[in-house]
This record gives sequence, C-alpha cells and structure tokens, in this order.
Amino acid sequence: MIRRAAKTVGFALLMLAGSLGHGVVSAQPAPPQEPYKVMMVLWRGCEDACRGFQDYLAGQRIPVDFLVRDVNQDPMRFPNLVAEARALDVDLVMTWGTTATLGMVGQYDHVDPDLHLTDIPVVFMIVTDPVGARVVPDLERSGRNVSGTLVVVPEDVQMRAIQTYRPFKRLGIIYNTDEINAVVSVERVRKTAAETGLTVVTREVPLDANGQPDPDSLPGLVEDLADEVDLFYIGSSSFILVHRDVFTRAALASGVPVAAAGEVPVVESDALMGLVSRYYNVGRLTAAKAEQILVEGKAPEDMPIEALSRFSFIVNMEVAHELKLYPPLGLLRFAEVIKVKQGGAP
Amino acid sequence: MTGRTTDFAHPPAPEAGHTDTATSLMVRLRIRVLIVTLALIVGAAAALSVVAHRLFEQQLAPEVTRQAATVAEFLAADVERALGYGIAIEDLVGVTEHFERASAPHPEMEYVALHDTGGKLLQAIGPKTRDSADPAVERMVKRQMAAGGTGFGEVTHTHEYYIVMAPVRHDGRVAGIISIGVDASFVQTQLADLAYDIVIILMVALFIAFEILVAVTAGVFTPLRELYELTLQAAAGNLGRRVPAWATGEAGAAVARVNAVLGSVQDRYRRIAAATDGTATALQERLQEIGRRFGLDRREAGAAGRPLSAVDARLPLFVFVFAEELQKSFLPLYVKQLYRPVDWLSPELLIGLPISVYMLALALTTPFAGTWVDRHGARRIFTLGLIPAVAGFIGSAFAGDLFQLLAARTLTAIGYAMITIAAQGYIARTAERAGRAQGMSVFVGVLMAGSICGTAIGGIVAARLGYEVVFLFAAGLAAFAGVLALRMLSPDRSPAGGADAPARPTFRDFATLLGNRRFLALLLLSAIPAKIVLTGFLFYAVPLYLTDLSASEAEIGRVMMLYSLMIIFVGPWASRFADRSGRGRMLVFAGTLASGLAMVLLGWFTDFEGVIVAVAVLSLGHAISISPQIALIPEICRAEIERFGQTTVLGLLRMLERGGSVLGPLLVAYMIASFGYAEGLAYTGGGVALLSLLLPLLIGRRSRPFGDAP
Repeated sequence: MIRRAAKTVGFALLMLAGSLGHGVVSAQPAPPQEPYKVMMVLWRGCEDACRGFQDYLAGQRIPVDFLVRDVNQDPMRFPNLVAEARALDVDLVMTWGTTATLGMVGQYDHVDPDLHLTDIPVVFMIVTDPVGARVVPDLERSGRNVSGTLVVVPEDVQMRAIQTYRPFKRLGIIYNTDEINAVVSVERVRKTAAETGLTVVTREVPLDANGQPDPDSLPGLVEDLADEVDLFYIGSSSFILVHRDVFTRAALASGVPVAAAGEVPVVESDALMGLVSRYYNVGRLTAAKAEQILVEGKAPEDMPIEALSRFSFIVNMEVAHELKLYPPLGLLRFAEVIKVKQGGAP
Repeated sequence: MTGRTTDFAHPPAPEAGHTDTATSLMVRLRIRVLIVTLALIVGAAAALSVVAHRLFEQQLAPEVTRQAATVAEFLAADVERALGYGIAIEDLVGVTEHFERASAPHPEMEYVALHDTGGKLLQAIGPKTRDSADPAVERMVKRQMAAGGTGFGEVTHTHEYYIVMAPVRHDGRVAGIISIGVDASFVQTQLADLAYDIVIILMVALFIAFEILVAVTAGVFTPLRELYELTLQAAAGNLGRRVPAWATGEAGAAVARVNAVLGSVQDRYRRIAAATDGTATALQERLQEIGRRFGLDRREAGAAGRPLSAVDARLPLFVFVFAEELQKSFLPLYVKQLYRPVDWLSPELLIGLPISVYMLALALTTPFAGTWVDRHGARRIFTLGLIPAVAGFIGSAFAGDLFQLLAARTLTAIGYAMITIAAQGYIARTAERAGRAQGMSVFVGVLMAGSICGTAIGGIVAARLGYEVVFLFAAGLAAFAGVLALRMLSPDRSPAGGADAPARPTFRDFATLLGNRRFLALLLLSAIPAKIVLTGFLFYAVPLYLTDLSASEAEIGRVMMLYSLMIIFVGPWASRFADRSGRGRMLVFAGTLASGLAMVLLGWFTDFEGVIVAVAVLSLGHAISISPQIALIPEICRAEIERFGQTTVLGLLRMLERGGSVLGPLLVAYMIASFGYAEGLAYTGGGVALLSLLLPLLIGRRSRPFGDAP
C-alpha cells in the first residue's frame, strides 16, 4: 500500500534518488585470481566520484589493486603516468576530469603514441563535453581504446525538472560567446524550451579591453534581465561557474531564482535548485563500465558513453526561504534539500 | 367413481377427463415440488447473502478505511518533512496537487484535507473546499486536540463518510491534521455488486432446479400417470392393458407389480379356459364372453419401450445452450484482446467479424443438420455435434490470434446448429403426444433459459477468472450435456412422419416467395432489421460500449440477460394477446419501431443507465414482435403455403433473416467506426425505426390491396 502510493506520487520525476540502473549485483563466485591493476588518475584528490568508483568494484567483489595517482592540478605529470602505467602493465586506467583525460589519451585526432595511452583501456568521468573536448568523436562509439560516462544532465530533462518546481514561463540565460560549450548549451535549451512552453531570453557577456568576457558586467546584466524573466538558468559555462557567487547573489537581490545544471552553484553559492548527476553515482556508473571491460572483456571502442538514468534534484532551502519560493510538497519527497536551518522552524 | 365400478356388465368407455385429471394431478404435484425447491433455494440464498453481507461489511469497511489511514499517515509524513525544512504550514506549496496524486488510485476517497490545530481547513481536494468545511471534522479535531491528540487512529462514521485522521507532528507537538473522507456509499456499492451476483446465481439455480426437476419427475410421473390410466381401464373392466415397463425405482416396481397381478389374473383365466376345454359348450361360451368383456384373452401395449418425450431433450439442450452462451457477455472484448491490426479492415469491423462468421456458419450448417437428423436420428447428431462444439470451445480458449478464434468459433457454430436442430427434431417427433406448437414453445423456452443462465454466469466467471477459463468451463459443460443426451435421449432412427417433414427448399421456392411483396416487406422491414439489432447492437456493441463505460463483465452479463428474460416473460403474453385480439400486425410494427427507437435513445442517454433502458426497450420490442411476426406468415403467404407447405415457408423466412444476423455486427461496426458509439448506434436505430414506418403501408390491414391469388 505504501509502496503503491509512493509510486503514484513519485511518477513523473524520472530522476532523483540515488540508486543506479546499472548496479545489478551479479553474484558470481569469483575464483581466486590475480587482482586487476587499475590506475586512477585524479585531478584534485579522491572525492565523491573517485569513492563511488572504488565502492562499486568492491561491492561487486571484483579483486582490484587501485594505483591512485593524484596530479594535484599539475598537467606536467601526465607523460610520466603514461610511462608508469605501461611499466606496471596495468589492466585499466581511469581518468577524472577533462584535463586529466586529455593528458592521458590526447585528442582523438592528435594522438602521439609516445605521450598518450593507446594500448591500455581507459575510462573517463567528470568530462563536461567529451565530444567538444575531442576526447571522442561520437558518444555512441568512441572508435578508440577509450570509454567513459557523462556528467551533465540533458537539457530536456533539466527543463522538465525545473517545471515541476513551478510552472516558470520565461527563462533567462547569460553566457559568453567565446566559449563553445556555452553557445551549444544555449542552443539546446532553446530547442527544448519550445517544446515545454518556455520562452528563453538571453544576454551575451560583453568583452573587456583585453577582449576577455568582463565579470564586472555580470551584476548589471542580471539586474537588467531580471525584469524580463522569472528564472535564471546556468548551463554549461566555465565563465559563469567561476563567477557563480556574483551571479547568484545578483539574481537573489533581484528576487529571481537560479537553476543550475551542476551541483556547484547550488551547493557552494546561492542558486535555488539544480538537477544534477551526483558525482558518487557517476563514479559508480564509470566503475560499471570498467567492470564490463575487465571482467566481460568488452572493447571500449564499441561501448556507448552514457549519462546516469536518474539524477538528483537539489534544493537550496536558504534561498527558498529568502525568496519565499518553496518547493511543492510532492517534490520534497524526492528532492535533496540542503542548507536547512536546524531548530529555526516557525 | 362409485356408480361406475359396480356396473360390470356395461363398462363405460374411459373418459378423456380421467387422463386430464391425472395430468393435472401431476402438474399440481410438480408445481408443489417446484415451490418447495424454490423455497429451499431462496431460503439458502437469503441466508448466504445475509452472511456474505455481514462478512463483507466486517471485512471490507475496515480494509477501505485502513487504506485511507495509511494514505493519511503518508501525507502527514510529507507535511512533517516540509515543516522540518522550515516551511510554515500556511506556506506549503503544491498541497492539493500532491493530495490529488496520492488519492487518484483510490476513487473511494472523496476528499483529503489539511487542517490547522484549531480544525480550520487549510487546503483540501474534493467537495470539501475552504467554504464548505465539514463542521463535524472541525469539532472532531478540537475534541482530539483537547484529548491530547491520542485518538487519531479511530474511524469516525458520519452520514456521508468514514473519516480517518492523521496528525502532523513537528517539534514534538501536533502542528496540523490530515483528514480523509471515504465515501460511505462506496462500501454500499461494493455490497450491492455482491448482492447482484448472488441474485443472479440464485435465479440461475432456479432455472437449473426447474430443468432438473422436470427431467427427474418425468421418470416418476410418466409411469405413475400411465399406471393411473391403467387403473381406470381396469376399473372400467379392461384387464388386458399393461403399462410399458421401462421405468426404474419405486415407480417401476409399482408398474411391474400391477403388470404382474394383471398377468396372473389372465394366467388363471387361461388355466380355467384350458381346464374347461372339452366340457359343455355353454360354459365355454360363457367363459369366452367373460374373457372378451374383461379383456382377459388379449394383451395391449405391453412390450413397447419408453415413449419419446419432449422432456428428454430439455436438460441436455439446456446444459449445452448454457455452455455456448457463457461467452456472450465478453466475446467482443476477448476479440479486442487478440486483435492485431490488419490493412484491409478497420478495427471495429474486425472485432465484429467473429459474431458474423459464427452466424454465417450457423446459417449454412442448419439445412444440412436437418437432413442429417432425418437420416441418422436426433440422438446421434446431438452427440456428434458435441465434437466440433467442444473442439471450438477449447480452440477459443487457446486461440493465439483473431483468425484462430474465427476458426474455433466456426466449429462451435457447426456444433450448435447440429445440436439445436437435433433437439428440435427430437421434440418435433413427440408431436403426437403434446402438440407440435407446445413442443416448439418448450424448445424456445429452454433456449432462452439457457441463454439467461449462460450469459449471466459467463459474465461473473469472466470477471473473476478470465475469458480463457470460461471457454474451458464451456467445453466441460458441453461434454456433460453429451453425457446427459446419451442417457436421456432415446434412439430414434426412424424418420419423422413423411407428410410433415420439411422438403428442402429450392431456388424456385425462394424466387416465388420473394415475389410476394408483403412477404418481402416483412422480411426486409422487420425480420432482417430485428436480427441486425440483435447481433449488431446487443451481441456486438453492448459489451464494447459498456466496457468503455468501465462496466465489468458481470455487469455486462446482467444487462444482456435482460433480453432473454423479457422474451421468456413477455413473449408468451404478447403471443396470446396477438392471437386473441388479432392485432399481430400492430405488435410487429410497434415492436420493430421500438427496437429501432431503443438505439436512437443512446444518442441522448450515453451512460450506463441509458444502455440498460435501450436494451430493455429493444428486448420488449422483440418480445412483442417475434412470435406475431411468424403468426403473420400464414396470412400473407397463403398461396405459397398451399404450394410448399407452412414448414418450408417458415424455414425460408428463418434462412433469409439469418442474413441480418451475419450483417448486423459488420453494419453496426461500420457505423461505430464512422460516427462513434452513441451516434453510430443512434443512426442505425433511426434507420430501423424509419423503415418500420413503411410496414403498415406495405403489409396493410386485413384487406388485401395487392390481390393475392384467389
């Protein structure tokens, strides 16, 4: 009965909640065997995705020796790691982030076999745009000894999720035109917005004297656009991500909520909500790909690069209180509510 | 009686009145047994329904409120979570949407409401809006709060609702209340459904009891009646009669004993006659005279076997028709389930196809079945007919697609034709005993009783166990009918009386008959439309339409059963009225018009009740028009009947009107595909009604405007 009601209530939010579609436990009695050697190339230490990756393989009882290599944001170390991986004859290399991935495997049309891995299978994760960054030419089939997972939630799913919070009508996006990611993202939002009844209003960030996007222009842009929209959206844009504090505070001051495509603006700044791939789950999904390569012997070049099938809806309660814009009761059953004041309830 | 027995010298001829007395005695006895049976069944069913009702109320009501309580607790937890995030209870967003979603799978939950601790309604769905908050709930909340909020688990029963409440707790205090009102009549509706099922089963039990009673009593009453007649004969001085000794049990023993006593009297007479042989002629003559007068020198009707009786065929026929009619309430739904689109036919027509194909197979097999019965005897054809029939039922149960189902239903149709024609032939052969018309009314009565029982029970079984099970059940039941037929039907190889046997109609007969404009009018304006309405509307459209209105198979069965009920109870009355008043034409016209208008009604009344009314009006129309229709034939086909005989003419009418049965589902399906249910049916009915308006003009009053052959 409870389950039935839950199912009914939980219907349309095709995301949220933690569990992974792929994580089917295969209880194969593992014969005592030589552990697999997996090198983990990390950009800034072992965080959630890294732990998810390790936990998944441990949970599947796959014997693995993890060779954790944290480059600590130093891109000069990759050639050494490539050499080390070959010397230790590792079975698989996992890479975290766009820079580490490109450092280990190179762009698909500029591979130097001396500097890049071609003989050892590689799985990547937390790469915002694998095609745009030229890690792979195609998400369906990489065509090289590389596979991986996506971290960004598709725009159409984002738009539908946002609409479950409130039936927003006009969506504002501020973006910088010199960043191809951002431009592509805006195009995709425009396309899907038409289907969901949203109107998209955009502003481009002006360039400063050096020809760079000018962060000082952000508060004015936000204030100006706030009159025309009832929600701001932060998609895939490094520039806005870097200046997320300025952006979200300006929006909050104008009384307009912000929705983000990643968890950082919600968790670390003043965005109201975000439909995001939790890094831990992305790590698990990536580990499932590693399992297919190591245990099942699948070829990385034939494996599709996929996103999670379920995402997390994060709500920033501090901002909700400030805006008096509370999440609807049904959403609360699934949303991950953060920044709740303890004991300060009315 | 007293004056008669003493006068041995001049025994009066037994009067017909004695036999009548015996028969009426039997009838009275049978009615008494029936009444006792009825009383027992009604008593048992009443007791059962009271017990079932109480059990149901004890079990269902708590179950329903338990579900509501769970939903209430669940929603309270959701509100608690929101309060935990620091949202004030007045500021909650999306509450009604959330309530709607949570209660959507539970139509019995009439309202869901959120109250503050003062009982004031904050948010609600259902009829209890902010303006019409239930003061009863408000009072209850206040009472609960005053009592410390410990009694929230209880169910309160008001006039309209069972009300359950769940507290919303926050920071260790009650911060609000969720209340859910369950429609009290929901439980009542469920109980009513159960009651309907029980009434239906009761009625079916009565029909079955009646059929069994007739069959059983025939084995007792027939020898007793014959014994009674024998006693009258003996009392009148005829000691030479014997009762055919076929009965078993007590009645058989009594018959054997009486036969033996009479036999020993005759033996003694013969010994005396032998002993006096050669003595005085006068004595011999005197003895011979006594022998002649009291029938001691001869035997009558001793060795003949069991006589054919219409009763023999009743029970096997009833059981078989019962089996076949089980599918009626859901066949189109079953077809829909098997349906896969094809290019060459619209889905509606495709779903109508099995009924049409069945009717076609029936129409084509019937003439052959008649010939087979004449040649091989009814008993054999009846049992042989079960082979295709049972194979068809099993095939229908396991059909993987529409075309396998069509093949299976065709087999069943062939079996149905063989069996019904065999039973009809068997009953017709008992014509000397009871009169052919009476025999035919027995036949039709059994068909209708079987139809009522089968349609209703089939619906109930289908709703609970699924369609396939019903077909398997039908197969078992039909096989049982075969066992009954083998036991109860007498072998009857000898063909029926040659003079009355229907000659096979020729094309020339058809042509001649169709040249009769009044016959043609009756056929095209009344007989064929009646069949179109029957198979197209009742058999095809009603199950589909009622399913669209979310009726269960059991409910569909109940509605369709109305038809046979009306024919059984109103039909004979209409028939008598037509005979007495001579207003057959009027009834034919009124009935056909009504059957058309019944469907027109659906254009306005598109709900469940509308369908019931339409089916009732249609059934009434057919009940008053079908037998007068046949009664009109001798009048409007006088010349043809003189040439071919009445049986042939009626047979031709039957054969031609079956065209309507075949056409019905396809025509109605086409109309529904073109205009939708309500309008498609209304237009079809309108057509039937409009055509019927021509009937009085073309068939005319008693005058003969078209100048028949003098």
